[in-house]
Amino acid sequence: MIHPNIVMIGVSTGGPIALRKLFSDLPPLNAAVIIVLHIPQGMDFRIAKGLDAVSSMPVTLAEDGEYLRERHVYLAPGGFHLMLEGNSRIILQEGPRINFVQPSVDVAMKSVIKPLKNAKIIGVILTGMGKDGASGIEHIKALGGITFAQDKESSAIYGMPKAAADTGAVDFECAPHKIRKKIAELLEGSGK
Amino acid sequence: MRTTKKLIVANSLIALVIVLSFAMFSLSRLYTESLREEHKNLERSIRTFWELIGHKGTGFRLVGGQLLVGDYVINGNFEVPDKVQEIFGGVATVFMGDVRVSTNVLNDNGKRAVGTRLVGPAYEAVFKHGKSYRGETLILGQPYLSAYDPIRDNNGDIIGVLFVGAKKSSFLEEFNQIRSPIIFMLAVLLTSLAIVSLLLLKMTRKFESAEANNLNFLKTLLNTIPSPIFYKNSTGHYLGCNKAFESYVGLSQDELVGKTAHELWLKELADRYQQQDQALLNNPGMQFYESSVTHADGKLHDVIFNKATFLGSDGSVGGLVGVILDISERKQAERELAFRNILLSVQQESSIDGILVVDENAKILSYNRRFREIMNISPQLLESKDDSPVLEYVTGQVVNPDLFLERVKYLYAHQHETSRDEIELQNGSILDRYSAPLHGSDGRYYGRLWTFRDITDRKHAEEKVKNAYQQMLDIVEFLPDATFVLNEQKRVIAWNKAMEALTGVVKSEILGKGDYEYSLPFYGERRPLLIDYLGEDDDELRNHYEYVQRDDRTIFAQVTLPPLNNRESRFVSITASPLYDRCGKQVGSIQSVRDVTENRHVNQEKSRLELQLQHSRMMQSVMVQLGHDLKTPLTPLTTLLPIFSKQINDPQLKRLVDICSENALQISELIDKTLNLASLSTMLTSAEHKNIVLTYALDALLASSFGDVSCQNAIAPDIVIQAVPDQLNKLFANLISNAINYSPPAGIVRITAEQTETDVTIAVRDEGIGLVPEHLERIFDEFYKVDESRHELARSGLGLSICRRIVLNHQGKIWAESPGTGKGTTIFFTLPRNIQQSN
Amino acid sequence: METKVMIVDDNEYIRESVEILLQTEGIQIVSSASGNECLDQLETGFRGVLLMDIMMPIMDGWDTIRQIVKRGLYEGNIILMLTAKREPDEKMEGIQTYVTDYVTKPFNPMELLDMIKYYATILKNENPCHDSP
Repeated sequence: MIHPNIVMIGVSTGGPIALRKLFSDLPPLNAAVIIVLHIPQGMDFRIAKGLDAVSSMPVTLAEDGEYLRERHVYLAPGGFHLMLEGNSRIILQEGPRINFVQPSVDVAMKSVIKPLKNAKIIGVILTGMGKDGASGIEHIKALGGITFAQDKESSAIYGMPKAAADTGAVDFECAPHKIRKKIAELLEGSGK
Repeated sequence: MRTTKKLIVANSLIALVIVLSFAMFSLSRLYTESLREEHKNLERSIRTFWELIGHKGTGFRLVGGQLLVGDYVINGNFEVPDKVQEIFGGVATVFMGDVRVSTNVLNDNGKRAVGTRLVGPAYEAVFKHGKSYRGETLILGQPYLSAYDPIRDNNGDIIGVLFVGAKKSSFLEEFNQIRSPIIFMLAVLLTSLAIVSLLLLKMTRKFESAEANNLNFLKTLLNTIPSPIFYKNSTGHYLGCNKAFESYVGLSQDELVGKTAHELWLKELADRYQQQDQALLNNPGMQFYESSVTHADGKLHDVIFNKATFLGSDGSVGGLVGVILDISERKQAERELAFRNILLSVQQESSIDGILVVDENAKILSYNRRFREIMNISPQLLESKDDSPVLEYVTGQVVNPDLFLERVKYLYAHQHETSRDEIELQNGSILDRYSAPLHGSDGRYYGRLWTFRDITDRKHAEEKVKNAYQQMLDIVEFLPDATFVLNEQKRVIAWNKAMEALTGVVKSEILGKGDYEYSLPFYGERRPLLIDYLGEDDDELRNHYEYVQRDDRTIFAQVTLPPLNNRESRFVSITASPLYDRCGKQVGSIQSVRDVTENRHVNQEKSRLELQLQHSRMMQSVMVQLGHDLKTPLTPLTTLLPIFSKQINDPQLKRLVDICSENALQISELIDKTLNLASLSTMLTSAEHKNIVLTYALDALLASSFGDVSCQNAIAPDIVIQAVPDQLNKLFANLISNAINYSPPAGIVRITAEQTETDVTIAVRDEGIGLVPEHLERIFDEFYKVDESRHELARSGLGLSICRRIVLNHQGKIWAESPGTGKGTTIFFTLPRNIQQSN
Repeated sequence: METKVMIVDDNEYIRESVEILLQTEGIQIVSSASGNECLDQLETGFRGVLLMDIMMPIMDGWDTIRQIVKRGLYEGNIILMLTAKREPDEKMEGIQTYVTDYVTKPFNPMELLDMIKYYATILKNENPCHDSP
């Protein structure tokens, strides 16, 4: 089975604006983009639509059992944990709150497996309260992925990015527009 | 006419050959299928036989010339073989050695053939080769398929044989019945060739009916198979499917036939199917893969596709046939498991205990970061998943390795025990170790959980309290400062050597004395000392002492003692503190006295510095508070002034409002930078320092462009420093924006780094206006600006002082160099490669 | 549907200046001087973007949000926090899902407007087909 490139983004408070900055002017990526945003049910589809309006890639709410496609953005719906199966398919699972939240970034990132061939894994932690995503980003780094955390200056709340950076597993700390540029560079020419 | 006839004959011949081969193929398939079914039946039959006999007892043995299973005597007991016969038909026998002792095979007289012997190839297989035997035999003229399994005793020796013979089912006879008419039909077809014109019609008719028969038969066969089956031609159009497929996907065969995947299924699925089909057609043979199918219930089901190509009439690939195996439930279970594992690992990571889980073979299943930290084990060692090097390593860490190892071995040997004890490590840590078995719901042992909690602090605290009193007295004795201790009744209970030396009063004279006796050596009269003022407030103390400072419960004071006997006046530092028992009740007090007449001046300087430090800390907290407090009243200004400005038409008035607005913004920016500087001034803990690959950190900042000024990152990728990431980013950002601001159009800003054994020196070089020597020092001062005429609103003059603060926080140096005005500036700073722990 | 905004702040100058700022842009805005007033407005049907001060007497911003969630008044609103400090606040733990963004005082009026407009458009998005798996 062919593994797609994966960009997984974990974000909380300040997320919609940070995501808007990240996705406006972002060219379509040769990767499936998965966003885990701490949101309640009922708000998720609104955020997805808002993001869809500024993004060059279609943005939809992730559905259970859906196969990942490149050049597509999936937003985890509220009230479920999102996991990937074999890096190629979305699984939504009910379960306890982790790090006070559901969906949890740690759960999503920890479900990523070592990709076959030369597929790239990119993990990003943007603004947010708490420390969800820190052990997830460590996991992605351990798989040989490339990791980003939003810098303090541009974060509405420098909680999650700090926790991620404190693990020592973050490669780049910068503002969303720089993350955008770097990701586009990293995925350039790796398309099929 | 002749050619037509020839053509017809040729065509007929071809048709005949096709029908013949098709019929032969079907027949042979049918035959093998039937035979396989028969063998399955036979296996079921002998398995049942084993099970039934197994119910009677465990273990076969020979006792007194009889064959027993458990305590059940088999000889002459026909219950089990008859039961087998009842279920499967055929015959069943138990042999003791090679003699029939329990059977329903009948002899010529119609009686049970007990006592007869086993002969032939079955005997050879069982007794000479110790193997089971399967084969065809004739019993009473009936064709039977037979199975013989050896019976072994507890030593593995063959002491008997189990036999079943299954009747060939009616299916095989049906097969024979079907076979004859088909062969007959073919014969008719063959003879009809001789009479070409007349029989041509007849032949055609027969051919058609034969094909219809065959298709019909295949169809029935397919429909009896419970798995969904479909077949497609080589262009991907469905040719047909079985009933199971129709109900699985909720489409009838009519809706299916002639359509392609894209006309029927979701695009993503159809894409996948088509991709896989094409791969198979390009490379004919078999194919298995996991995918999903839209089930009749509307949901996606996980399935395994099992596909194979078939040949068309022309010998090329005609299409493919696929069988679907639904694995949704298995997948669901797999997912649940994966989810539980992730939850577990996230929960494990957040535990304050070190956790290690091993399986029943003591292989490492999982561990958390805390475990690694507590034991100080390298991840590589743990990743090997092998318990023994880890155990060896941990054993090397503990103070009493033999006892530890014994305990571990005991627990691995006694799977069901839990245990808890304390382990002392060589580095002084004390761990609370708990170990419990992991049992499944069925009680099976799956492995063992080990948790380790660092209780060093608690342990030490306990110890301390326990021995505090005695220890204190012992310590007091050897303190270099003159020290004495009073009990609750203000009687002297300790008077140390230094005290004897200072006062000339020996221990034995003063121990147990009260009523201010202890003040005599100091003042020559009975009066309260600092130790007696512990409850008083500071103002009262200041009446008696020159300098008073309180730290929690301890009072520090300085006083000049009057001249006494043959002693000059002395200046002393005194410390006094109450003593408490573990319940917090005061049980006494302690005072120490140091003669500091000589270094009085030094001390005065010290306390002045201390006061200054205190003062600056206070200023800092006032600054922070003020900063936050200013933000709220500033908000209406920054919000309303721009609106106001927009609504004004008078340009002069507008300018006035804009000036106000800009200044409000500037104040708010100043507040930010001031708060920033204040927060940078607090001490860093070493935990905040991370190893940073310098060139990456810089790369992240340079990802955006800076007008026409270009920034070059010339730092080698192998340079790694220890720094606080957030502060390092700010440092670079400030220096680069500074360099860019002073750069000429199309200028170049170049960042380089060099490392020595201990330090890394980083240089940020611009081609800008440069600096004269007297500015070089001062540019790092707060609010210092080089060029007043370039006063820009957005630049508050704190940028470089923030840089200096950050570099100082990292125990580095920062300085500027410039060959002169107009020749560019280089800012250098050093960062240590390894941060030293500072207090 | 018109976008509505509610400012919840105990400082009347802040309330007033935000009111004026939004009114000049033609955005409907109501004010609440305390957490309780805010809850009353929600009980009587207000739905829209909430700008919530954190430091308020009696009931602070976090407690107000807890009440909103507890009384089932969250659906249809977006909550943005207004604060002088930008530090992570541990009192937020457990309710961060309901806090969509953070605005630091003194805010840039243009950025605040941009933010409010963006969240207002998001809020207007209706669910096309609510099919939770």
